[in-house]
Amino acid sequence: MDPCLSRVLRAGAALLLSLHALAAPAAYPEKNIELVVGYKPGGGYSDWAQAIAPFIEKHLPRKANVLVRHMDGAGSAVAASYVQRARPDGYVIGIYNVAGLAATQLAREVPYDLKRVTWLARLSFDDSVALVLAKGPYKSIEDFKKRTKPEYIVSTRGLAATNTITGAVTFAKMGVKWKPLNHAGTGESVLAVLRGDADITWGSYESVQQYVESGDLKLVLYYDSKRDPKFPDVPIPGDLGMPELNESMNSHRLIGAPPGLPADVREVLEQAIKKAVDDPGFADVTKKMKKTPAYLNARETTVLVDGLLKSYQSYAGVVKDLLARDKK
Amino acid sequence: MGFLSQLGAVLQWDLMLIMVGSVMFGLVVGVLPGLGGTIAMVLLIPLTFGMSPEASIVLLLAAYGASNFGGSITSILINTPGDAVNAATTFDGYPLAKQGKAGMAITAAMVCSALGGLVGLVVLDLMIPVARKLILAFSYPDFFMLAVFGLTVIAAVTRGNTFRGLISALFGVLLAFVGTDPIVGGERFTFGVEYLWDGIDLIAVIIGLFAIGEAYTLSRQHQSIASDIKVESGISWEGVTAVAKNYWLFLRSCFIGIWVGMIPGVGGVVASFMAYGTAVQMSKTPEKFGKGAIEGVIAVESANDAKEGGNLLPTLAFGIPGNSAMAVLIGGLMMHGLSPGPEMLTKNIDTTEFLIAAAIVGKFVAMALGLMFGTRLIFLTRIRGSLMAPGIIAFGLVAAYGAGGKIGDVIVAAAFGLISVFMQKYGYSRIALIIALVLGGLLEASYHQSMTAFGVSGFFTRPIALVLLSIAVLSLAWPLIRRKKTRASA
Repeated sequence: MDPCLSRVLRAGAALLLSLHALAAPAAYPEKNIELVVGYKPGGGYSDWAQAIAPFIEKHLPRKANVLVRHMDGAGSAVAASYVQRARPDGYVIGIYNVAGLAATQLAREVPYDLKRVTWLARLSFDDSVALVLAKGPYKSIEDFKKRTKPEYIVSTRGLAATNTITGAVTFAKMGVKWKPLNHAGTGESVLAVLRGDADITWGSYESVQQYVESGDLKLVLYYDSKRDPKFPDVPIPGDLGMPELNESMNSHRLIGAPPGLPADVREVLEQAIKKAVDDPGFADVTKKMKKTPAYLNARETTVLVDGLLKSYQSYAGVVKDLLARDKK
Repeated sequence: MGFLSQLGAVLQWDLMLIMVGSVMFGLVVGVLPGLGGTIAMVLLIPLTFGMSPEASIVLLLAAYGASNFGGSITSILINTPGDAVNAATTFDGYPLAKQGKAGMAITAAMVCSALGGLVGLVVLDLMIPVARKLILAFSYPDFFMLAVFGLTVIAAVTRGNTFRGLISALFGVLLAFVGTDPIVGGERFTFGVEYLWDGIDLIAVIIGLFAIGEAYTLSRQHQSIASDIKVESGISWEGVTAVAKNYWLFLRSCFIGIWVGMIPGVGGVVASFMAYGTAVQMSKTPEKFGKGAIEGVIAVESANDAKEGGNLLPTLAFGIPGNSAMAVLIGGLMMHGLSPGPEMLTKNIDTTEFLIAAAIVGKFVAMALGLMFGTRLIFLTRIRGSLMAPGIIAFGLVAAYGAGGKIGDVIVAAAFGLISVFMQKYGYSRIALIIALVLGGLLEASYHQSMTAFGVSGFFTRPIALVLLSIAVLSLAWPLIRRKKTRASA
């Protein structure tokens, strides 16, 4: 072929491609968007995803469905890996439990990397709490320092679960000896405390709120920078000389996309999520669900994740100790 | 019986319209490969946003209740359970279809589901005053003994072939140990494969062992599933009378379902297997099971639907979901400002009674529609085997994928299809494998939990655990005792 003609053709093709690339963002989204949840239906992450999906849909510039896809497994690691490997075109996004995934990343070899995820927003955050039986023998968390038992029984849900690590770090700092009574689900682990088979359990406030409101369980520690006005008598870690635990143990519900998401697509998604959170209809739904959104934009979320990953690194020792129990 | 006062509130024309639509939807979801009641509710939740709390309850519960009916139809006709809870229906339902008695099996399944659901919900209503105490009464040693008792069933289903039965069961236990260990939640036997973190999926194994294994056999025969036997379509009165004749079996299975259903974490799959096992053990003709005993279908289906009453108990009393479907229901109810928990038994008791009434009416609507449509599908058993086989394999593989959306499940199903061929050829028991796989996890987890919370003494000091242990010992010794008795009388 004539070299000149070939060059013209190549230039033409390049021009067409670049025009197509320019035209692409205006066309986004062209098809349905998958919002991946790493848990079975019925949990907090699933509830949030299902609540927000129709509102993201409403605020997209073009008509496309946002379909919630449940892909449970390995404490949401399966879903995180799936999103990580997906093509970064904005048609696969996920809702992340960043604390749990960060712990798993410390404990095991995993195919995802939270540092590389394209973060789009934080939907909510959820304070961690420690709970005991309301009518049980423990009045406060300080009671566990009395060593009335050689080892206290902590009701847990998996070794690398955020709540287990929160409990492990707290008890390590307090010098309390404990052993895990492990379960497959939150319901069972709460029931263990209700029956009196376990002494204490850790959870995120939203997931255990109903048991506190019903008067079955009682809070003994609330992880936040200041005491919650609803529970003025419940101490925060800072009150007990552990201020570094105040906020680093809380779980955040984030929306992220595969690494390398083009900036224009990210912008479209970020705006749609923001408008969805601001939508009065969404506020209505979250109010009914007794949940409070705590929105952060893409940039703020990225900064947050960096900080969380660093603070988790400092607990690597505790996680390793927990794993060592496994080998015993 | 407070729910009687709410029946009128359910039987409104607008709510009944929602109910019929929702039941149809539930039936279809149940028939669809791999999808069950949980998914049916998840799909419907967005529709409830604009509805009243009452309409939402009707919509969600009717679809959930109906999905069981749909799942049992495919179990009977093509040996493919729609959901894990329907798995045990295949054991005798499909052999019945092979004998040209699919109509009888489906009729019995529908009637048992509806009546079982009714018994479960009525008992739930009666238990409300003592609900909280009752749930707190059971702990780990009791769960452990429940699993031990369940395993003794293997002895009954493999009678005459004990060693091969034991090998099959040990293989099942081995499979149950793959995944996350129950002590601290670390991974084991996963060989670096991410898919195995959650263990080997029960539904995929069942589809492989039963549906795909069977399709292989079918593909080599030129006959239809029901061979050349004359197959009768439509509702079979034989099915209805079979239930009536076995009323004691029916009631016993209902109570097993309710009891197992109300223990969070033990799960509905265990309920149906326990009911099946007890039916085998207490039968005068245990050798008929697995070869087309209508008692097998009656036991499983009545336990399956009665357990929903049990499931609702911890959901209503503590807000603790009895299984994943109840977790979805709780989520759905909370979006309407209802919070399951102690208030459902006191302040919101009317809502609770309405919920029970709606679930009961839903069961009967599902029975009517299930009988109407389910028995029309019997023609499937008349199609030539070599034509049906590819269809069943495709349906089975889609079911394996549909249940969790994982390609690993499809591979497991295909692999167990192959294993099934060899197990059948050499006389190993597939039912024993499945029972061990279902109970292995519960056995191990509850053993460690008992040791952590109670120590060894826990197994022998709790009355419930002791009763279960005695039943387990008795059920193992029973054949010996009976043999001695017959010898003595001879």
